[in-house]
Amino acid sequence: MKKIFILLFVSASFHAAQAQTVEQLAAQFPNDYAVILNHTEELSLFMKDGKPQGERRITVELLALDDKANELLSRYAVFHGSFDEVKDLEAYTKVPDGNSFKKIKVTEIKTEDATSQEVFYDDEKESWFYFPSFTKGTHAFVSYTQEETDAHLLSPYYASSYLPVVHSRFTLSFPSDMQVKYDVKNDSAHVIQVTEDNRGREHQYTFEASNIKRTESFAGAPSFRYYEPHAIFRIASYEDDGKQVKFLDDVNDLYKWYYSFVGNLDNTNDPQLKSLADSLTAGVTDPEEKARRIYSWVQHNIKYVAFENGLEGFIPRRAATVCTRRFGDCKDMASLLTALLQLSGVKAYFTWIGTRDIPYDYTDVPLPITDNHMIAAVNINDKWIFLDGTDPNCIFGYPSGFIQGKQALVGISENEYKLLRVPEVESEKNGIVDSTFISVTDKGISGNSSVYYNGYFGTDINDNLLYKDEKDKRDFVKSQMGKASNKFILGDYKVNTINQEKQLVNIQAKFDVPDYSKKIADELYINLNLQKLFTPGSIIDTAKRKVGLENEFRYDIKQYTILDVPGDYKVSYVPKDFSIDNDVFGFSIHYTQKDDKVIACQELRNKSLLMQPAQFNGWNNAIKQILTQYREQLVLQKK
Amino acid sequence: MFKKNKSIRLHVVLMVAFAAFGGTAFTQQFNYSTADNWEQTPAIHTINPQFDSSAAIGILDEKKVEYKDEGKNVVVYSLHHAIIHIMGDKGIEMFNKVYIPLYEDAEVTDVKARTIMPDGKVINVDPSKIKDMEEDGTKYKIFAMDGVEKGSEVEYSYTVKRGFYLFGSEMFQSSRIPYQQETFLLVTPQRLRFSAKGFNGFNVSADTVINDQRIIAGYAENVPEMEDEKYSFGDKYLKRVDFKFSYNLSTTGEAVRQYTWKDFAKRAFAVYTDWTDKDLKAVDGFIKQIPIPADADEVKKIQVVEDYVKNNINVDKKVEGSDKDQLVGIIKTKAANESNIVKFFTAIFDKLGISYQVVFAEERTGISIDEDLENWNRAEAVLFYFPSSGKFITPVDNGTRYPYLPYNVIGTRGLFLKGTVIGNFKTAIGTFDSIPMEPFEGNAQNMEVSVKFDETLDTLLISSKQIIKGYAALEYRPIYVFAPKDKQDEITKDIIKNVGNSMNISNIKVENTKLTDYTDNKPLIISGDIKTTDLLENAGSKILFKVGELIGQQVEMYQEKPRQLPIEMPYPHVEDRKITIQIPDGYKVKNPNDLNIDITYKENGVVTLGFVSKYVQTGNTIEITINETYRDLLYPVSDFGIFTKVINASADFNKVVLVLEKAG
Repeated sequence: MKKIFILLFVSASFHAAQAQTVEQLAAQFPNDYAVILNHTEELSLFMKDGKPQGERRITVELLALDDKANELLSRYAVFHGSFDEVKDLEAYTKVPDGNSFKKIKVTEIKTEDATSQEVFYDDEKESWFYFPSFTKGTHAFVSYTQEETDAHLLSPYYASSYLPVVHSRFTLSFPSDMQVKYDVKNDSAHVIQVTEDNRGREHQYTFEASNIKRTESFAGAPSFRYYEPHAIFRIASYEDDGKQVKFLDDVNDLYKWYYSFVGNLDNTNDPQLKSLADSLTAGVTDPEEKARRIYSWVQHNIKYVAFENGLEGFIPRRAATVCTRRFGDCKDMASLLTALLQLSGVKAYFTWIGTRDIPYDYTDVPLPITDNHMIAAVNINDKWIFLDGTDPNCIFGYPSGFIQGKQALVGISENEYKLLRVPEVESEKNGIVDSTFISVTDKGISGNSSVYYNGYFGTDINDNLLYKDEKDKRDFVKSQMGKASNKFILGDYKVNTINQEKQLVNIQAKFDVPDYSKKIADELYINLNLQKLFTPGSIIDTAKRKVGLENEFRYDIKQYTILDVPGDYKVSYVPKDFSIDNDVFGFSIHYTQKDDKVIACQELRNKSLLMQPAQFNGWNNAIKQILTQYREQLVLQKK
Repeated sequence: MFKKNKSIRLHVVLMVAFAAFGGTAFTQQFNYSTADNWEQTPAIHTINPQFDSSAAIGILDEKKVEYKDEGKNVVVYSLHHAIIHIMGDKGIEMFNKVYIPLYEDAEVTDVKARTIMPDGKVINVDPSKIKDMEEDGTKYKIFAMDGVEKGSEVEYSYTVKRGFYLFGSEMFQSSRIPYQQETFLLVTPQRLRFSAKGFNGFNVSADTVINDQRIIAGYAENVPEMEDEKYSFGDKYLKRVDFKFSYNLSTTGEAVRQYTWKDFAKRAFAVYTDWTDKDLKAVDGFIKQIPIPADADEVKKIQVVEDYVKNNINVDKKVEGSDKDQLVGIIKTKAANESNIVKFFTAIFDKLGISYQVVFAEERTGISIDEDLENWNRAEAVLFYFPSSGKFITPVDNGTRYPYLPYNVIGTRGLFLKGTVIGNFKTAIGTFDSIPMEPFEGNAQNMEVSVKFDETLDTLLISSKQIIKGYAALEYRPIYVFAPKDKQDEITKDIIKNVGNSMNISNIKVENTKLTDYTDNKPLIISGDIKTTDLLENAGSKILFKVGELIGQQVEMYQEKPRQLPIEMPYPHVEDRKITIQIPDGYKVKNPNDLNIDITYKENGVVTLGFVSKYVQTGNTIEITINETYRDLLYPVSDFGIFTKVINASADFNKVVLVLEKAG
């Protein structure tokens, strides 16, 4: 009975697609040279060797709407790894030939490594080919099967794709004694239609979507997971030997699986590691100070190199190995950190966490897709501190910027874990204070700047300097200190680390900016906003952008520009003060005249980590006012 | 123009050679020893103080290429042995991971790698940790080095075995780190004689016979890294050695130099005219679909053929192509690789009786062809030359059209294959010649802008037209052919935004976007009306008009390091700008003379480099004309001062501010 239903359904959708001609689709999707006419995915879950596994059958039919598709879109790639190996990959095109079609098979499929950025070696592969003669009116077909050998790692279903999707259907079938849960995200518009069929011995969920625009990407946006409609699913339990076995129903299940990767490391049993821990903490009794020293050592001595081959992507290496090799990935650094800390008597734990790219909490989505990172969490006097070994200049006590606000899964013991919220660092703790003294010369202005960088700003400066040799350093300082115009000529400079542990950095530089300021007849004009923190480009195109704007962290910037009024001039016009404040940011410009000096103070407080589209109008209005304010010049008059 | 370029190049080579000579006064001689240099007990090396601010220093870069008889075959073992002294974190990042790229038929026979710690302790890389990888068509062996820290040394050595190859090249300079000692050895059986040549100061010996082996040695010492410089293509100036097989003493002997450019011409001609009957039949069918007008002359035919093929065939070097009847395959799949597409064009040209020459050219972004050391691999670009018009096309770039070539091959040298018939045998004679550029005046990025103030005097209404011609259009026109419509609109807006720094743009118009518009060099015109407040500032009652920003931000070279390389432009060009400003009633401009800038350099009465801006005021209208000229492709290092002055003149104009005051 059910089979017939599916067949009817398939032919119905085929007819629906047929009904639209190439011209109609081209009119519907004027910005695309091809569409995905049908995307069909059938994932069936079953028990094999006492474990749940899956097989995913994928069929995609593309249709070229323009001859340019042949040049631009004929390359097609299928990505796979050791947990979802591809078999039976076949592809062909049906090229219009008079009143019918001519079938051309794809004969060359090449499989290469597709190692992700930041990773040195993994098992991700890309099988790719060209669709032959993918010109207007040509239908291109690709089909393959993916064996999902570990059912913990089922990937979600997304309605949209790199091309518009005319119709997409994802079917999930599983035995009736298996319990599967699903969750549809970002779909207030009900793009994804879900039907459930719970009759018979095989249950089935079907997710369908039609006429979806291609996935858009926006600068400074959070990842597509925050806004593209998608469905997440998981096997909550299955039946084995007549008993219901929990699989991934809740965080307990996930943690149990995760613990199996770290439980047997025997991580602290190594004399060399012990002597390293002892030498790093010699004479120190305060656990926080011990933690500081150990964290700093790992940050500065272990370089980031990631090997993620199969389960290697989940299992941290032994701390002693990481220590000898002097490199590792996040898990390896977490391994070494926890081991050294534990050897020094500090309560330290392996911790799983997702970076801010991932919108989920474990409590909501108890799946491996919720995280992509590992750190160490330490508990000192009932206070939790999160230590990320991958950031060589992260401040002790600060989380690394990209995990702020995320839920952390802290592994206490085999049977105990904690879910903790990583704090978001307030703006006062990340500051730039810039004091720039300038005087007017015959050619323009000349001055010296002293800038203090604090918190994440200090971390950024040090991260940048870490990978620069002396020659690059000057260029970096110039780009960092440059102001007034691109005619900024850098003179002598000094970079001082005031406090290594707090990453408080001070850069001082002498400079000239010819052609800045204007002398006409008896007057001299100068804009004291040497650095404009906003430009016309800061205005958001609300018609186009429907996705929020992300900040790496909250911060405060204070810029003092102190002008020496030349002896033969007096101040004849000072711009008015200005300030504005909303829920995204606060900004002000304040002018003070004191003896023979005029001081302009520009202050910005950025309060948001993620500005929502609803806040865009308020933002734009504020920016327009600021831009008007930035146009105000100070006027000096010859005495 | 070309004569000048050539003399400049010669001048540069001489200078580099002289510098190298000066630096080698007390240095080593050629070392012909083939002994293994992998020390049993390695020690940390002393570094040359001149390099102590580098991230890492190459202590040794040793390359040994050995041709050996193995059974009936000659195989090649290439050894690469490097020792790197790590100076800091950047150095660790660069060298704690090693990638060994492999040629198609290559096999790694031996890999050794170790870290030597500052205290002398040695950590060897476990061979089982070496991974294989393939990306973008290249295979690699990759591994990570254990224990690398500041003051340590990374040492690795590997030997790659390949089948016999005729042409080789080894680089001895990088853009990343300096090297203290570099050595090269080419070892062959005595009967096989190779030619070798050092470039840019790399010393290479004549060959010498030692124990039945013929050996060529090379070296350089204390080679600094080559830094990137604006307006330069640095690769051809890197130290290197090229070598090629020239004589087989056991067969043709000393008298016959093999694998010359003449031979290349013959072979290449044979490859590109090797069509099967099926190919030719399929091409006949294809030609019928090409809309060639009945009255088309030869030039018109070339243009129509090029446009049709490029619009219909996807050219990508990764396309495999069929084993035989490749042209049938191209027509069926509408895809071709860079080699087969040449064959496809030659078949069509032959059928249509179009006279052409296949040209093998160097790329300016790569390494130059050397006419004496015949390294066939240097002929990187394939072009078509048409004797009837003296023009060229490239078969591989679908974004260009007759007569424009991609800028990386203009002004280069190339081997022109002229077909000839000897008896019944068709072959080609190869001669080197220059590949000229299209006339300099035709390459332009011009602008016509008119500006008026609105009633409130705080907003400018700008009508802007950007007029782009010749090579300059090569960068823009493909956007309007290949990008999706919504992206085109976005990019157009961004281009117009440059004029007024505002996204408030209306009446957008883009003209002459077709690739065939290159044929008569119709300008690509991007126009729009901009409303902006960004170019005006207030100084009490005065209005400051940042007129210079109308030309957009310009490249600046205000603070440059001492120049190493000649200046090389992507293409010679002119920028003519006309700005008309309507001054608001009752206002006058207090400093119009700031608009006058004149920095020009002439050679034989012709401006070769210049930036000239001047204005004329008629009533309330100020008309500014700006001419910026870069007439040549190449300027010697000695012209660097002049060049930066012109570049900076334009960046200076960008900062000109007019002061408007109520007339009273």
